[in-house]
Amino acid sequence: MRNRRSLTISALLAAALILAACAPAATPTAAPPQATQPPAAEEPPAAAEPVALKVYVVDYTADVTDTWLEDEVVPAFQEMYPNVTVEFIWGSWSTFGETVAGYFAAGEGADIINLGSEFNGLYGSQLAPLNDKLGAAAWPEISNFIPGTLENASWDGELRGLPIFSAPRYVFCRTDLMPAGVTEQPADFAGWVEFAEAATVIDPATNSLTQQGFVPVDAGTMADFQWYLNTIWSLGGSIYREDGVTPNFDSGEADAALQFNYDMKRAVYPDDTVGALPAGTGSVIEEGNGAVCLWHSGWAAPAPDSAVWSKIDIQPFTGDPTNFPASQPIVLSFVDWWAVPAYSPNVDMAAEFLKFVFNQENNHRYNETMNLIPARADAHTGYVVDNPVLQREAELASEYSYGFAGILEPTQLQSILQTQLGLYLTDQQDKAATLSSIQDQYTQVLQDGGYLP
Amino acid sequence: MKENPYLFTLLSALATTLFIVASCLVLGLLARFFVRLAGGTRRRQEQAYAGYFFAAPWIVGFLIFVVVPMLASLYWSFTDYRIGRPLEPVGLENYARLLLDDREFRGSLINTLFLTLIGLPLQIGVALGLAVLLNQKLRGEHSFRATFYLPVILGFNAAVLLCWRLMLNASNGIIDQVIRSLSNASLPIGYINRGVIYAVEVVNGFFLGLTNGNYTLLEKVLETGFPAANRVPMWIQTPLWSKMSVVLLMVWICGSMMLIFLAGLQATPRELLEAAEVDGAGSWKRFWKITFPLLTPYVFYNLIIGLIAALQIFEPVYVLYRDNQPLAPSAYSMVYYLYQATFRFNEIGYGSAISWLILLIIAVVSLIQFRLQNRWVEYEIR
Amino acid sequence: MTRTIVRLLGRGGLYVLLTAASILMAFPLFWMISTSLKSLEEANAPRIIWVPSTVVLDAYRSVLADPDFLRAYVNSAFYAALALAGTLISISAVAYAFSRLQWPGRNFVFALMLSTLMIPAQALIVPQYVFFNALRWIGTFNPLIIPGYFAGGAAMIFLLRQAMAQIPKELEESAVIDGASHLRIWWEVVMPLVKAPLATVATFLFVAYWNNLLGPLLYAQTTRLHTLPVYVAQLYNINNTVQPWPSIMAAAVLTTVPLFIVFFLAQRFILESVVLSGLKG
Repeated sequence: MRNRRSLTISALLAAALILAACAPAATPTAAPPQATQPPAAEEPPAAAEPVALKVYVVDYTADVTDTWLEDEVVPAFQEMYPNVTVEFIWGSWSTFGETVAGYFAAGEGADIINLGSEFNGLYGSQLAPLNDKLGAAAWPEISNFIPGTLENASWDGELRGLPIFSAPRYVFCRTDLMPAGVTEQPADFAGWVEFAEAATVIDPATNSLTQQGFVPVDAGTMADFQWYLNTIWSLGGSIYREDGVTPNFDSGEADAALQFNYDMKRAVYPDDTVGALPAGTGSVIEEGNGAVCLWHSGWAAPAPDSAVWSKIDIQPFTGDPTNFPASQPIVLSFVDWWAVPAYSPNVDMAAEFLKFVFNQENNHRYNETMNLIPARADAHTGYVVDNPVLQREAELASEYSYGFAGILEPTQLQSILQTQLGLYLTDQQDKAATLSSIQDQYTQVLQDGGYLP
Repeated sequence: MKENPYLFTLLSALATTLFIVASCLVLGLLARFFVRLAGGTRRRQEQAYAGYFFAAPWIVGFLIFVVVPMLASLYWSFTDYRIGRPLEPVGLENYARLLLDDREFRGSLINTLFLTLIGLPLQIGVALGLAVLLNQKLRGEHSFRATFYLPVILGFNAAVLLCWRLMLNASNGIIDQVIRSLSNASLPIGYINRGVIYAVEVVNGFFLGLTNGNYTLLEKVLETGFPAANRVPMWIQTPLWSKMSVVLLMVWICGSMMLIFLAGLQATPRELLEAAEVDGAGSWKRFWKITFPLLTPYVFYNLIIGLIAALQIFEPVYVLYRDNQPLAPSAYSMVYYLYQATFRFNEIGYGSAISWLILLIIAVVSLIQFRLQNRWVEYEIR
Repeated sequence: MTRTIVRLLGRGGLYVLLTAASILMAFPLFWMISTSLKSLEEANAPRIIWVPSTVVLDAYRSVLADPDFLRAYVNSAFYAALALAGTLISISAVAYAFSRLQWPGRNFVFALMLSTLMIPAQALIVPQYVFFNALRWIGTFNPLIIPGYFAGGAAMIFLLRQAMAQIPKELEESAVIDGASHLRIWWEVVMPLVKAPLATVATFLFVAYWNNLLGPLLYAQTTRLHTLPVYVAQLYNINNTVQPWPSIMAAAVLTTVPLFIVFFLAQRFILESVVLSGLKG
């Protein structure tokens, strides 16, 4: 009995050890071997070791962009580089945060990552420097990109990827819903507050809005942090002092911008017992959805072929020239981009793929599938100029673009601003306390991050 | 082998099984060895062998998946570890900042307190009520029971929560529409509605005051006085109601508690109730003197499990307020705050300190509950 | 109590109350189904439409035709089945140890196990992630399935343990007299007697695995390994002006179908086993 048992034990242990050794031993083959250096930027590599690129994409139109990328772009690329396979990982903004954080935490994952506009600040230091492959000397085509857009794809003096599109934020207003006697969008803060109040309609039976004069991104709270930053910048203000690092939320512009945001909220919601617009789907300024003006990107506006566009006026946000002479009209520009993480073993091939997907024709095609404005100025053809809406947007973008970039610790700043704005705009805190909280907390964040002593 | 993930995992599972079996044997033998060393009888040695053999899977798993991660997290809590940067020890700085400087953490504690003090009793109350209703001899009892358990099955998946967002809209969400039409139809209901709104806003105003350090909103609510006739709950729109939506979701998902109570009600011995009836006890008296005391073990079970769950509440807050940052601080719980620090800001060191503090709080509260058990839980009728 | 309530409300009144409560509980499901049967225009219309004017099956067709959806279904099934197999066996073994065996240190280990209920899962995520990364298990199903094999889930162990404790000693004793080893007693005597609680535990675990979002999201990394909850979450993309609500809801409804089936089958057992577990213990 003893003997049989100890025999069983040793047999089991041996089997366990063997299998344990087998299973993980199989994994190293999954890691792709290093791609050989291409001799020159345009020539395919001589030695053809197989290279597998993984590309994580969040900006795409289902069944259009993905089909085009997989069925047309990749095969064309493979004609140049037969040893390369490209696998796309289709994500969405709702799962973006965890997925990308997971890649960087593990130190491996996709070779090319589709990042949002402000993420050059968060992940910049962990992305591969690409000036030697994509800079003007190595790739002359880079000069065709709208300059502001390249800022979003850079960090610390180096390009880290390439921008796909420019999604600026405009003020879209329904001309048929403007208050009586008003034909144009207001030109200063006081004008806007008056406009918002006059254009808002509250139904006494339900004590809720049936028409909302102004929607800055979020119709309910009207406390969006991008709207706040946009207001500061439209006044000619800046969120950093001259040294580029110290927070500037104790400035006159920050104060006036905050006051304006509050006044706009109260113009629409006299107090916090008023219900929001009825829940709907689709753009808020579409027929029947109740908003008069919207400050947001093109994709929060109605679909390009919608009939409502004949009644919509598109303008930049003009700030407050009356009180702040340095005001400038701006369209806050969000530029999503494809970046190459430093952990990737295939940085060279990834850069080659970037150059291919972001050539003139492909950049145009990509954006056409999403109805956005290409980051390459020479791709502003076809659908961009044919559709009057997009053409108007492109014109405004080239003239007034202000990049949403270069923000230090963007996720933290976003959280601080959203929280504090939320507190102030619901009367839980006064303005002075709000501004000093923002200033103190952001300073603390930058100190923790090593930007400030 | 990794090219086929299914095969890889199947083989890993097989390897794991063998590993577990091996560890069962090893632990059993070790246990028997130690008992023999300690001079235990032959019987005790065999008992030790059997016990540790069968308990080994959990013990080994506990060491690998709980102890080691918790020790790592404890270590990190004393550093400033962030993803992508080298870590540096900072001693007690994280804890000091959490307890003294971090207003948002204190806010999350107060929110969790609110959810526990108000949400948990409501959950238990509704579960008990539903169980009592279901305990009548009804046709279709099984279908009703399934419907009340449905929310637990649906869980908090993305689609369900999007549905809730639609339903909670103040002007055309179904919940408020029903409240509105009932209030308009009948005056007493209207008064009850306004009364409840007033009470909710006062209590929430008070808690918000605790969080923010100023009672402006509470003062405003008191100043405005009794709500107007066209008011309805504002659910996910204002800080005065944001926690109540979470409470609503907590109550919606009380199906498991209801099943526990139902089982308890069905286990109440008929004879006791009948005997009391024969003695002339009225039905309320029968309920309070017999049924309820016998239910107390079940109440206690639901209370303890519910308390631990309430203190750890995450999913409802996550989906309702994840992309509503301005309202989130008025509603987020301790664990949501932990999640945010870890995943949004990638601050692992700080996040680890938060987890240990949360653990401490839960442990203390649970211990208090256990101590109090003796006071009011009856296992038998005196 | 019965008679009082019935007298108070009347039989009809009771039904009304229960039906009202059911409506509230089941409304999200109703809304999901209704939206999934709408056309894209109706689903995105500004005013609320309760029931689609014409039932449109386009959403279901497109979801079922999507290879990613089918693969997600397979992945969810694979994950749930494999995890359930290992977890049920190890939980049964551990519950047996706590309920029918005496051994030195048993009460301490039992208390330790219960105390793990107090640890929020979110606290363990990052250290476990780092651990799995060191094993090169990120990008596979392993981190989702393997931990369960070690009898994860204190609440389930507790439930099963209570049930096993109720079994009368005499049933075991005859096997002992026959000279059976503990393994045989466990497998041949005890396990068949706890079928109902086992079914309950299996149901709860299945629901948890099937609905798990965060785990697969963190560990899957590529679309090939996505499970159903991740697939549904990805369908909602803020870059779309017109959200594919019907498709999102159709995918969600299809996701819930297995859960219903399992619950209806196991309903009877769940109640029985709670009674059996005798919470008074």
